[in-house]
Amino acid sequence: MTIRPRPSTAALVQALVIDASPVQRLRSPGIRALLWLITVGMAAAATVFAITGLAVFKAGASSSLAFSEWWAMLATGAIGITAAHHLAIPGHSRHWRTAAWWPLALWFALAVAGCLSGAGPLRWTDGSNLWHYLECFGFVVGCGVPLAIVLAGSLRRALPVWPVDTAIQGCLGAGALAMAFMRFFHPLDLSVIDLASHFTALTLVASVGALRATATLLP
Amino acid sequence: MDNGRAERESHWAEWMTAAQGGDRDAYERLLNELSIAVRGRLRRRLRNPDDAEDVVQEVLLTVHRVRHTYDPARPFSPWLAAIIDRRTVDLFRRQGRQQRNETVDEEATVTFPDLRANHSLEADDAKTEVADLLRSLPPGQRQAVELLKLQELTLREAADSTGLSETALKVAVHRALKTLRTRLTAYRGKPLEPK
Repeated sequence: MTIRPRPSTAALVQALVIDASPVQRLRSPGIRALLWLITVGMAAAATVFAITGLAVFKAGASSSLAFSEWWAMLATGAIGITAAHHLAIPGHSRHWRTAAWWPLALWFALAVAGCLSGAGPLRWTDGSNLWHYLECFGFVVGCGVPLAIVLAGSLRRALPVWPVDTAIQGCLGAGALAMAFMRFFHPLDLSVIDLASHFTALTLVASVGALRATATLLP
Repeated sequence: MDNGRAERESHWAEWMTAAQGGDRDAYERLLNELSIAVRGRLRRRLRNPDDAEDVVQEVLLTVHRVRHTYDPARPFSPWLAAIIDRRTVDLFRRQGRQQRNETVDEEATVTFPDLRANHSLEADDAKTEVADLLRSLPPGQRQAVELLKLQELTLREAADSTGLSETALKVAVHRALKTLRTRLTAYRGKPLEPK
Protein backbone atom coordinates (compact mmCIF):
# COMPACT_ATOMS: atom_id res chain seq x y z
CA MET A 1 0.00 0.00 0.00
CA THR A 2 1.44 3.32 -0.98
CA ILE A 3 -0.27 6.51 -0.03
CA ARG A 4 1.63 9.60 -1.03
CA PRO A 5 -0.56 12.65 -0.63
CA ARG A 6 2.10 14.94 -2.02
CA PRO A 7 0.82 18.41 -2.80
CA SER A 8 1.60 19.75 -6.24
CA THR A 9 4.77 21.82 -6.45
CA ALA A 10 2.73 24.84 -7.54
CA ALA A 11 0.58 24.49 -4.40
CA LEU A 12 3.70 24.19 -2.27
CA VAL A 13 5.13 27.37 -3.82
CA GLN A 14 1.91 29.21 -3.02
CA ALA A 15 2.01 27.97 0.58
CA LEU A 16 5.62 29.04 0.98
CA VAL A 17 4.94 32.48 -0.53
CA ILE A 18 2.08 33.04 1.94
CA ASP A 19 4.44 32.09 4.75
CA ALA A 20 7.24 34.37 3.52
CA SER A 21 7.66 36.85 6.32
CA PRO A 22 10.81 39.03 6.40
CA VAL A 23 13.82 37.28 7.89
CA GLN A 24 16.90 38.61 9.61
CA ARG A 25 19.93 37.67 7.54
CA LEU A 26 22.54 35.65 9.34
CA ARG A 27 25.80 37.46 10.00
CA SER A 28 28.87 36.21 8.14
CA PRO A 29 30.27 32.97 9.59
CA GLY A 30 33.57 34.67 10.47
CA ILE A 31 31.80 37.28 12.57
CA ARG A 32 29.56 34.68 14.23
CA ALA A 33 32.54 32.50 15.07
CA LEU A 34 34.38 35.50 16.49
CA LEU A 35 31.42 36.48 18.66
CA TRP A 36 31.11 32.90 19.86
CA LEU A 37 34.80 32.75 20.73
CA ILE A 38 34.70 36.10 22.53
CA THR A 39 31.66 35.01 24.55
CA VAL A 40 33.20 31.68 25.52
CA GLY A 41 36.57 33.33 26.20
CA MET A 42 34.98 35.88 28.53
CA ALA A 43 33.01 33.19 30.34
CA ALA A 44 36.18 31.11 30.72
CA ALA A 45 38.21 34.10 31.96
CA ALA A 46 35.50 34.99 34.47
CA THR A 47 35.42 31.41 35.74
CA VAL A 48 39.19 31.26 36.10
CA PHE A 49 39.23 34.61 37.87
CA ALA A 50 36.46 33.55 40.24
CA ILE A 51 38.22 30.31 41.13
CA THR A 52 41.89 31.20 41.22
CA GLY A 53 42.12 35.00 41.15
CA LEU A 54 44.58 36.98 39.05
CA ALA A 55 47.70 35.08 40.00
CA VAL A 56 47.17 32.32 37.52
CA PHE A 57 47.10 34.78 34.59
CA LYS A 58 50.48 36.12 35.66
CA ALA A 59 52.09 32.75 36.18
CA GLY A 60 54.39 31.76 33.37
CA ALA A 61 54.39 28.44 31.59
CA SER A 62 56.71 25.70 32.77
CA SER A 63 58.67 25.87 29.50
CA SER A 64 58.56 27.65 26.16
CA LEU A 65 57.49 24.40 24.54
CA ALA A 66 54.56 24.08 26.90
CA PHE A 67 53.64 27.70 26.17
CA SER A 68 53.81 27.09 22.39
CA GLU A 69 51.70 24.00 22.85
CA TRP A 70 49.07 26.09 24.63
CA TRP A 71 48.96 28.56 21.76
CA ALA A 72 48.64 25.69 19.29
CA MET A 73 45.63 24.46 21.32
CA LEU A 74 44.05 27.89 21.17
CA ALA A 75 44.70 28.07 17.42
CA THR A 76 43.11 24.64 16.93
CA GLY A 77 40.11 25.78 18.96
CA ALA A 78 39.64 29.09 17.16
CA ILE A 79 40.17 27.63 13.68
CA GLY A 80 37.93 24.62 14.36
CA ILE A 81 35.09 26.85 15.57
CA THR A 82 35.50 29.19 12.60
CA ALA A 83 35.61 26.27 10.15
CA ALA A 84 32.44 24.79 11.64
CA HIS A 85 30.60 28.09 11.22
CA HIS A 86 31.71 28.31 7.57
CA LEU A 87 30.77 24.69 6.84
CA ALA A 88 27.32 25.31 8.32
CA ILE A 89 26.44 27.78 5.57
CA PRO A 90 25.41 26.21 2.24
CA GLY A 91 27.78 27.03 -0.58
CA HIS A 92 30.85 27.84 1.49
CA SER A 93 34.06 26.06 0.53
CA ARG A 94 34.44 22.49 1.69
CA HIS A 95 38.15 23.14 2.16
CA TRP A 96 37.17 24.28 5.65
CA ARG A 97 36.67 20.63 6.57
CA THR A 98 40.43 20.20 6.97
CA ALA A 99 41.16 23.58 8.55
CA ALA A 100 41.60 22.46 12.17
CA TRP A 101 43.82 19.53 11.26
CA TRP A 102 46.83 21.79 10.56
CA PRO A 103 47.08 23.53 13.96
CA LEU A 104 46.21 20.17 15.53
CA ALA A 105 49.19 18.60 13.76
CA LEU A 106 51.40 21.43 15.00
CA TRP A 107 50.09 20.99 18.53
CA PHE A 108 50.72 17.25 18.38
CA ALA A 109 54.24 17.85 17.07
CA LEU A 110 54.94 20.30 19.91
CA ALA A 111 53.57 17.84 22.46
CA VAL A 112 55.76 15.06 21.10
CA ALA A 113 58.74 17.41 21.11
CA GLY A 114 57.97 18.16 24.75
CA CYS A 115 58.08 14.46 25.61
CA LEU A 116 61.44 14.13 23.89
CA SER A 117 62.96 17.33 25.30
CA GLY A 118 65.61 17.40 27.99
CA ALA A 119 68.77 15.47 28.45
CA GLY A 120 67.08 12.39 29.87
CA PRO A 121 65.22 9.62 28.09
CA LEU A 122 61.67 9.83 26.78
CA ARG A 123 59.35 11.12 29.54
CA TRP A 124 56.65 8.49 29.94
CA THR A 125 55.02 10.09 32.96
CA ASP A 126 55.47 13.18 35.06
CA GLY A 127 55.30 11.12 38.21
CA SER A 128 51.59 11.65 38.84
CA ASN A 129 49.24 8.85 39.71
CA LEU A 130 46.52 7.41 37.49
CA TRP A 131 43.83 9.57 39.10
CA HIS A 132 45.61 12.69 37.85
CA TYR A 133 45.43 11.50 34.24
CA LEU A 134 41.80 10.49 34.62
CA GLU A 135 41.10 13.95 35.97
CA CYS A 136 42.68 15.51 32.84
CA PHE A 137 40.64 13.23 30.65
CA GLY A 138 37.45 13.97 32.55
CA PHE A 139 38.04 17.72 32.46
CA VAL A 140 38.52 17.79 28.69
CA VAL A 141 35.45 15.63 28.03
CA GLY A 142 33.35 17.29 30.72
CA CYS A 143 34.16 20.76 29.45
CA GLY A 144 34.46 19.95 25.72
CA VAL A 145 31.07 18.27 25.38
CA PRO A 146 29.05 21.17 26.86
CA LEU A 147 31.00 23.58 24.66
CA ALA A 148 30.20 21.41 21.64
CA ILE A 149 26.52 21.42 22.59
CA VAL A 150 26.49 25.22 22.86
CA LEU A 151 28.27 25.37 19.51
CA ALA A 152 25.67 23.05 17.94
CA GLY A 153 22.98 25.55 18.97
CA SER A 154 24.78 28.24 17.00
CA LEU A 155 25.41 26.00 13.98
CA ARG A 156 21.80 24.84 13.82
CA ARG A 157 20.72 28.40 13.04
CA ALA A 158 22.20 27.78 9.59
CA LEU A 159 22.05 24.56 7.57
CA PRO A 160 25.13 22.36 7.94
CA VAL A 161 24.71 20.48 4.64
CA TRP A 162 27.73 18.31 5.50
CA PRO A 163 26.99 17.71 9.17
CA VAL A 164 29.74 15.21 9.91
CA ASP A 165 32.52 17.47 8.59
CA THR A 166 30.98 20.40 10.44
CA ALA A 167 30.71 18.44 13.70
CA ILE A 168 34.26 17.13 13.54
CA GLN A 169 35.71 20.61 13.05
CA GLY A 170 33.47 22.07 15.74
CA CYS A 171 34.21 19.30 18.25
CA LEU A 172 37.95 19.50 17.63
CA GLY A 173 37.63 23.22 18.29
CA ALA A 174 35.55 22.73 21.43
CA GLY A 175 37.86 20.01 22.77
CA ALA A 176 40.95 22.09 22.08
CA LEU A 177 39.44 25.11 23.84
CA ALA A 178 38.54 22.93 26.82
CA MET A 179 42.12 21.77 26.99
CA ALA A 180 43.47 25.31 26.72
CA PHE A 181 41.11 26.26 29.55
CA MET A 182 42.42 23.34 31.63
CA ARG A 183 45.89 24.92 31.60
CA PHE A 184 44.70 27.37 34.26
CA PHE A 185 43.88 24.61 36.70
CA HIS A 186 46.38 21.99 35.79
CA PRO A 187 49.95 22.29 34.46
CA LEU A 188 50.51 21.23 30.88
CA ASP A 189 52.95 18.45 31.55
CA LEU A 190 54.88 17.07 28.69
CA SER A 191 54.81 13.33 29.09
CA VAL A 192 53.63 10.45 26.93
CA ILE A 193 50.74 9.51 29.23
CA ASP A 194 49.57 13.13 29.40
CA LEU A 195 49.74 13.32 25.64
CA ALA A 196 47.78 10.09 25.29
CA SER A 197 45.10 11.14 27.78
CA HIS A 198 44.66 14.57 26.12
CA PHE A 199 44.41 13.23 22.59
CA THR A 200 42.16 10.32 23.61
CA ALA A 201 39.78 12.81 25.20
CA LEU A 202 39.87 15.01 22.09
CA THR A 203 39.24 12.00 19.83
CA LEU A 204 36.32 10.95 22.02
CA VAL A 205 34.70 14.40 21.84
CA ALA A 206 35.18 14.54 18.04
CA SER A 207 33.88 10.97 17.58
CA VAL A 208 30.73 11.56 19.61
CA GLY A 209 30.17 14.75 17.61
CA ALA A 210 30.60 12.91 14.31
CA LEU A 211 28.23 10.12 15.36
CA ARG A 212 25.51 12.52 16.50
CA ALA A 213 26.08 15.06 13.72
CA THR A 214 23.29 14.25 11.31
CA ALA A 215 20.62 13.91 13.99
CA THR A 216 21.74 17.01 15.85
CA LEU A 217 22.68 19.46 13.15
CA LEU A 218 20.58 18.68 10.12
CA PRO A 219 17.04 20.05 10.12
CA MET B 1 29.41 31.09 -17.39
CA ASP B 2 27.36 32.30 -20.38
CA ASN B 3 25.53 35.62 -20.23
CA GLY B 4 22.04 34.10 -20.01
CA ARG B 5 22.95 32.00 -17.03
CA ALA B 6 24.76 34.85 -15.33
CA GLU B 7 21.77 37.10 -15.86
CA ARG B 8 19.39 34.46 -14.52
CA GLU B 9 21.49 33.95 -11.40
CA SER B 10 21.74 37.64 -10.84
CA HIS B 11 17.91 37.76 -10.93
CA TRP B 12 17.72 34.93 -8.45
CA ALA B 13 20.11 36.66 -6.07
CA GLU B 14 18.16 39.90 -6.43
CA TRP B 15 14.81 38.19 -5.81
CA MET B 16 16.13 36.27 -2.83
CA THR B 17 17.46 39.49 -1.32
CA ALA B 18 14.04 41.07 -1.81
CA ALA B 19 12.35 37.96 -0.37
CA GLN B 20 14.50 38.19 2.74
CA GLY B 21 12.95 41.62 3.22
CA GLY B 22 9.44 40.18 2.86
CA ASP B 23 8.74 40.83 -0.88
CA ARG B 24 6.30 38.02 -1.70
CA ASP B 25 6.12 38.76 -5.46
CA ALA B 26 9.88 38.42 -5.82
CA TYR B 27 9.80 35.27 -3.73
CA GLU B 28 7.09 33.72 -5.86
CA ARG B 29 9.04 34.47 -9.04
CA LEU B 30 12.14 32.98 -7.47
CA LEU B 31 10.48 29.78 -6.27
CA ASN B 32 8.74 29.23 -9.61
CA GLU B 33 12.00 29.62 -11.49
CA LEU B 34 13.90 27.51 -9.01
CA SER B 35 11.41 24.66 -9.24
CA ILE B 36 11.90 24.53 -13.01
CA ALA B 37 15.69 24.80 -12.81
CA VAL B 38 16.02 22.25 -9.99
CA ARG B 39 13.68 19.82 -11.73
CA GLY B 40 15.75 20.05 -14.91
CA ARG B 41 18.93 19.48 -13.02
CA LEU B 42 17.57 16.53 -11.06
CA ARG B 43 16.09 14.75 -14.02
CA ARG B 44 19.59 14.28 -15.31
CA ARG B 45 20.55 12.60 -12.03
CA LEU B 46 17.39 10.76 -11.04
CA ARG B 47 15.62 8.47 -13.47
CA ASN B 48 12.36 8.36 -11.60
CA PRO B 49 10.40 11.61 -12.16
CA ASP B 50 8.52 11.03 -8.88
CA ASP B 51 11.80 10.98 -6.98
CA ALA B 52 12.91 14.10 -8.80
CA GLU B 53 9.68 15.87 -7.85
CA ASP B 54 10.11 14.79 -4.23
CA VAL B 55 13.57 16.32 -4.16
CA VAL B 56 12.36 19.49 -5.92
CA GLN B 57 9.83 19.97 -3.13
CA GLU B 58 12.38 19.18 -0.43
CA VAL B 59 14.74 21.73 -1.97
CA LEU B 60 12.02 24.40 -2.05
CA LEU B 61 11.13 23.72 1.58
CA THR B 62 14.79 23.91 2.57
CA VAL B 63 15.34 27.11 0.60
CA HIS B 64 12.36 28.54 2.47
CA ARG B 65 13.60 27.42 5.87
CA VAL B 66 17.17 28.64 5.47
CA ARG B 67 16.64 31.69 3.27
CA HIS B 68 18.16 33.79 6.07
CA THR B 69 21.53 32.10 5.40
CA TYR B 70 21.87 33.48 1.88
CA ASP B 71 24.38 36.30 1.73
CA PRO B 72 23.74 38.67 -1.21
CA ALA B 73 27.46 39.40 -1.39
CA ARG B 74 28.06 35.82 -2.51
CA PRO B 75 26.93 34.01 -5.67
CA PHE B 76 23.56 32.28 -5.50
CA SER B 77 24.43 29.08 -7.41
CA PRO B 78 26.79 27.43 -4.89
CA TRP B 79 24.27 28.12 -2.12
CA LEU B 80 21.49 26.46 -4.09
CA ALA B 81 23.72 23.63 -5.35
CA ALA B 82 24.70 22.69 -1.79
CA ILE B 83 21.02 22.43 -0.81
CA ILE B 84 20.21 20.32 -3.89
CA ASP B 85 23.14 17.99 -3.17
CA ARG B 86 22.10 17.59 0.45
CA ARG B 87 18.50 16.76 -0.39
CA THR B 88 19.55 14.34 -3.15
CA VAL B 89 21.82 12.51 -0.70
CA ASP B 90 18.90 12.39 1.76
CA LEU B 91 16.73 10.76 -0.91
CA PHE B 92 19.35 8.10 -1.66
CA ARG B 93 19.76 7.38 2.04
CA ARG B 94 16.01 7.15 2.56
CA GLN B 95 15.71 4.76 -0.38
CA GLY B 96 18.61 2.68 0.94
CA ARG B 97 16.93 2.48 4.33
CA GLN B 98 13.63 1.42 2.77
CA GLN B 99 15.32 -1.23 0.65
CA ARG B 100 17.09 -2.64 3.69
CA ASN B 101 13.79 -2.87 5.54
CA GLU B 102 11.97 -4.59 2.68
CA THR B 103 12.17 -8.37 2.46
CA VAL B 104 11.65 -10.43 -0.67
CA ASP B 105 9.22 -13.25 -0.02
CA GLU B 106 10.24 -16.04 -2.39
CA GLU B 107 7.27 -18.14 -1.38
CA ALA B 108 4.67 -15.49 -1.86
CA THR B 109 3.05 -17.40 -4.71
CA VAL B 110 2.93 -20.88 -3.12
CA THR B 111 -0.03 -22.34 -1.28
CA PHE B 112 -0.14 -21.68 2.45
CA PRO B 113 -1.93 -23.75 5.04
CA ASP B 114 -4.00 -20.74 5.99
CA LEU B 115 -6.77 -20.68 3.40
CA ARG B 116 -7.22 -16.97 3.67
CA ALA B 117 -3.67 -16.46 2.46
CA ASN B 118 -4.42 -18.23 -0.83
CA HIS B 119 -6.95 -15.72 -1.98
CA SER B 120 -5.26 -12.84 -3.63
CA LEU B 121 -8.59 -11.09 -3.83
CA GLU B 122 -8.85 -11.37 -0.08
CA ALA B 123 -5.40 -9.82 0.23
CA ASP B 124 -6.54 -6.98 -1.98
CA ASP B 125 -9.59 -6.63 0.22
CA ALA B 126 -7.33 -6.33 3.25
CA LYS B 127 -5.36 -3.58 1.56
CA THR B 128 -8.56 -1.79 0.71
CA GLU B 129 -9.75 -2.28 4.27
CA VAL B 130 -6.58 -0.77 5.71
CA ALA B 131 -6.75 2.12 3.27
CA ASP B 132 -10.39 2.66 4.29
CA LEU B 133 -9.42 2.57 7.95
CA LEU B 134 -6.77 5.17 7.29
CA ARG B 135 -9.27 7.34 5.47
CA SER B 136 -11.64 7.03 8.40
CA LEU B 137 -9.14 8.66 10.75
CA PRO B 138 -9.50 12.35 11.58
CA PRO B 139 -7.50 14.43 9.07
CA GLY B 140 -4.78 15.42 11.53
CA GLN B 141 -4.15 11.84 12.65
CA ARG B 142 -4.26 10.54 9.09
CA GLN B 143 -1.76 13.14 7.95
CA ALA B 144 0.58 12.30 10.85
CA VAL B 145 0.50 8.58 10.00
CA GLU B 146 1.06 9.23 6.31
CA LEU B 147 4.02 11.52 6.88
CA LEU B 148 5.73 9.67 9.71
CA LYS B 149 4.89 6.03 9.04
CA LEU B 150 4.30 5.78 5.31
CA GLN B 151 6.62 8.43 3.96
CA GLU B 152 9.08 7.87 6.83
CA LEU B 153 9.76 11.56 7.37
CA THR B 154 11.51 12.53 10.56
CA LEU B 155 9.47 14.31 13.21
CA ARG B 156 11.20 17.54 12.37
CA GLU B 157 10.54 17.23 8.64
CA ALA B 158 6.91 16.38 9.28
CA ALA B 159 6.59 19.28 11.70
CA ASP B 160 8.01 21.65 9.14
CA SER B 161 5.80 20.48 6.34
CA THR B 162 2.60 20.62 8.43
CA GLY B 163 3.34 23.53 10.70
CA LEU B 164 2.42 21.37 13.72
CA SER B 165 4.70 20.89 16.70
CA GLU B 166 6.67 17.65 17.06
CA THR B 167 4.76 16.86 20.24
CA ALA B 168 1.41 17.33 18.48
CA LEU B 169 2.54 14.97 15.72
CA LYS B 170 3.69 12.34 18.22
CA VAL B 171 0.34 12.50 20.01
CA ALA B 172 -1.56 12.33 16.71
CA VAL B 173 0.37 9.25 15.58
CA HIS B 174 -0.06 7.56 18.93
CA ARG B 175 -3.82 8.13 18.86
CA ALA B 176 -4.07 7.08 15.23
CA LEU B 177 -2.23 3.81 15.82
CA LYS B 178 -4.38 3.09 18.84
CA THR B 179 -7.53 3.66 16.82
CA LEU B 180 -6.23 1.57 13.92
CA ARG B 181 -5.29 -1.25 16.25
CA THR B 182 -8.77 -1.27 17.81
CA ARG B 183 -10.52 -1.16 14.46
CA LEU B 184 -8.27 -3.82 12.90
CA THR B 185 -8.87 -6.06 15.88
CA ALA B 186 -12.58 -5.69 15.32
CA TYR B 187 -12.06 -6.46 11.62
CA ARG B 188 -9.99 -9.60 12.23
CA GLY B 189 -12.02 -10.77 15.16
CA LYS B 190 -8.97 -11.35 17.37
CA PRO B 191 -6.41 -9.14 19.07
CA LEU B 192 -3.33 -8.25 17.07
CA GLU B 193 -0.14 -9.86 18.23
CA PRO B 194 2.32 -7.31 19.50
CA LYS B 195 5.56 -7.08 17.50
